[in-house]
Amino acid sequence: MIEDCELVRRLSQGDRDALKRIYEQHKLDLLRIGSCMLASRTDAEDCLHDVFVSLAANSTRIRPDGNLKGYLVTAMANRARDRLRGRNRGRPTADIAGEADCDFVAPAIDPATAMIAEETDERLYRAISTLPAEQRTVISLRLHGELTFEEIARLEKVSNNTIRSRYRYGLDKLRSSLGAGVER
Amino acid sequence: MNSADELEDRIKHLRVMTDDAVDQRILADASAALLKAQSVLLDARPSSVWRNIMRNQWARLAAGLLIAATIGTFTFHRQFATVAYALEQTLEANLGLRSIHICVEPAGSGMGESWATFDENGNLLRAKMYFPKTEDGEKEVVWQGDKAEVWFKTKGSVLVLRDKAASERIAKEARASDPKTIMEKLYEARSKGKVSIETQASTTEGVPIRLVVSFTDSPEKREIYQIDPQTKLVEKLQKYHLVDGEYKLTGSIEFLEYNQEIPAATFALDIPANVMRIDWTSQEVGLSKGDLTDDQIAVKAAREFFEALIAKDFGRAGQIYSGMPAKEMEELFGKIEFTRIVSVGDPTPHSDARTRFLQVPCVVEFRAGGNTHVKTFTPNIRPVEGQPDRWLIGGGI
Repeated sequence: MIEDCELVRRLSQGDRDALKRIYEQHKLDLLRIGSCMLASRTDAEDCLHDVFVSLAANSTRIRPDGNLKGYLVTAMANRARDRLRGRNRGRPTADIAGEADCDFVAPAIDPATAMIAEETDERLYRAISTLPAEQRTVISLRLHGELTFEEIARLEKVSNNTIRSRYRYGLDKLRSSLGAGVER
Repeated sequence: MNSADELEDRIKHLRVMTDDAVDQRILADASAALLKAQSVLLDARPSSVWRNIMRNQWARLAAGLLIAATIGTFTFHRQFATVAYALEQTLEANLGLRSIHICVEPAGSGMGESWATFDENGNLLRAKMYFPKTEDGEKEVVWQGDKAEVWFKTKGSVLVLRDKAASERIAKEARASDPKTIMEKLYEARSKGKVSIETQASTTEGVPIRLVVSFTDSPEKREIYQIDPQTKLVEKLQKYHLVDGEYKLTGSIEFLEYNQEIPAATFALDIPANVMRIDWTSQEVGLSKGDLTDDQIAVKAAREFFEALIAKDFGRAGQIYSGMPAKEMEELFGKIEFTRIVSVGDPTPHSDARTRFLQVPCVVEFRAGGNTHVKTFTPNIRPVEGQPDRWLIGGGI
């Protein structure tokens, strides 16, 4: 916390090393939040970009005594939510597909290894992506953003109990969908 | 995964793929925003030094002379450096483009080197592209007409396909870095006021003309084009980004050989004999979709693939699995004894929409190493390039 205050103070004075340090410290959790909420790494990276450009642009106005991680997590969640709303309004996905160049995918060459490998994180991501957006948002903000249920409730503008229910139902569903592939 | 704590812990530590190029881009843009925020702050503060100078009569006179001298020098320098060059000269020189060899640094996950030939109207005839580091590893592509060969060097396989849409994508990739396209885009950007171009030229013979390009909406970006003073062709394009207050070189495209004869062998892949060849132009691969929906054909392909493995019908399994020959399929899957399909779930789109895959969760029982296992596999399934009615498994299971 003290280190965060110092980093924010240095950032407000235009210190680029402080910016880099904040980025290195928080990028993974922010990317996890974006990836869980949006089920797309590319979209998560775009949100991360916007969060840090905005942090830098507002560096002179950020209070050094605030919760830096909370600030970044909230900013990430807001951007991811905006993007989700954009998708729901029917943003054409063809634009995204159109960016692919020479995207032929080679056949896997070592399926035997894949067979006996443990459940991968990819599978967990997939399972998370099948949850309703509200549930995966709460799970990610709680586990990656380290926000309290009260903080998430304020952010999502719903009651504390609703947030707790979403969290519980989400985890139950994940447990049940991941259970099918467990080795016996 | 029995306890809630274990699941929470696994979610908490989910692996995240990071990309150095993305980090660099974000930090560069954020640094530029930081610099801008600081300069706005400084602009808003009263400048005490300037105010003190302007309060003092002698200092005011000295400051005025200094400004006048600076402007004079700048103007003189500009007049001295101006030469008779216009961008249109390069556009005109490019009309004679028949072949080009290009190097891109750093290639990142994109193209690193290419060779291309053009007809007298500037249409692309043939291309070869080298990608040193893609998600599929090292890759080479040769293209002509509607046929392409893609050599996945890291994965040891070659894919031959004939498809209009795929060919158009490859041709677009090849054209994106040819000098004609690049200079036409620059000309258009200037016409629309998106860039401003400063021409710098030396009076010394043979020294290249430099076009310094600034972007109206992105002051953190800068490009320098090096033009041959004799031929007016572009020799090099360098890209810069503002980092820590100074423009740093982030990449370059070098146009190595204009209109040199490129040997025919350049456009042929030199493939070792042990590389697996999958030819989609000479065989039907995957399954026919017919009247099925996308979800239905994806489920069907996944189910029939595992049924073929259970029956040890490697020819059939290979036809669904990217058209892989039976022999290679047997080498890959023959050691595993598939016994039963437990369930086949509903398809979901791949998290990367660009792949256009549907993923079908399949719970399958198999024996390996003396033990029975039950695992969930998620084959990636999509239409075949050039055979739009047919769907196959690609990119692993």
